[in-house]
Amino acid sequence: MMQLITSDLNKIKSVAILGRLDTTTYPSLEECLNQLFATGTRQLVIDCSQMDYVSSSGLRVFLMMLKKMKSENGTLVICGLQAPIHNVFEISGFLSIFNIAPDVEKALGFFDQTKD
Amino acid sequence: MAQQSKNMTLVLPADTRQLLRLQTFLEELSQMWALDHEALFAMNLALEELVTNTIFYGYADKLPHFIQLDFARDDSDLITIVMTDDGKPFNILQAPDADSVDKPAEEREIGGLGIHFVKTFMKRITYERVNENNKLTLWYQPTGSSQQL
Repeated sequence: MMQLITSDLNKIKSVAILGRLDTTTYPSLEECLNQLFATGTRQLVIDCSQMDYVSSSGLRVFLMMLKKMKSENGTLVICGLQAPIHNVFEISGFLSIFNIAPDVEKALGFFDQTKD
Repeated sequence: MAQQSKNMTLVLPADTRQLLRLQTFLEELSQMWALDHEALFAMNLALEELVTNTIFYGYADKLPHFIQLDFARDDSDLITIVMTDDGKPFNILQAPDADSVDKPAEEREIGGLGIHFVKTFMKRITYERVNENNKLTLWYQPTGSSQQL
């Protein structure tokens, strides 16, 4: 089971993932992120503080979005990784390619707030 | 008594829509064997990667198939998982590992990452092809320490 909550933090969008991001649930996250990208979102926080499981199907979606955002000079920050998921990010080499923050508030520090 | 059950088996239809059954089964198993969250997470991740790999790439036909998972635990809490499927021969030990974990994002591909997780989380892995079946044996050693959370 997975739930997504999208919100606006000024010019920055945030998507909170609640529950499990796996082979059965990743398509709805993929759709949500593609939709945000298509409608012009270039500053995005993905809040994982309530995500308690991830598999490679879910990581694929994060990587897809990172590539898209980079291609458009956008900024993607992932925050709130629980310990086992932080470990999976580490094993995957994802800690070095993503902007990682402990929580949403600290994630905002990655953005240039003057940018449109 | 349930507490003393040292063997458990799950026969899973080879269909990603049935993956919830794997999750539910592992949650019950970890309760019964008093495993911590870390152990449940690691086994769930490794098995999801293996099962989905078999479902996506293992079968040349559209017939229904089943994947059997046999779990056993010895006195030192070492858990042995035997995964048996009738898919195409696939030896994970000869599969290329994720070789791109140090590359920049633009060059990264996700392929191989699932296999990398299995090899990282499992203590030991052996593969046999037996009677037209893939038989993969995985050993998982719970750390026994309480959660990192």
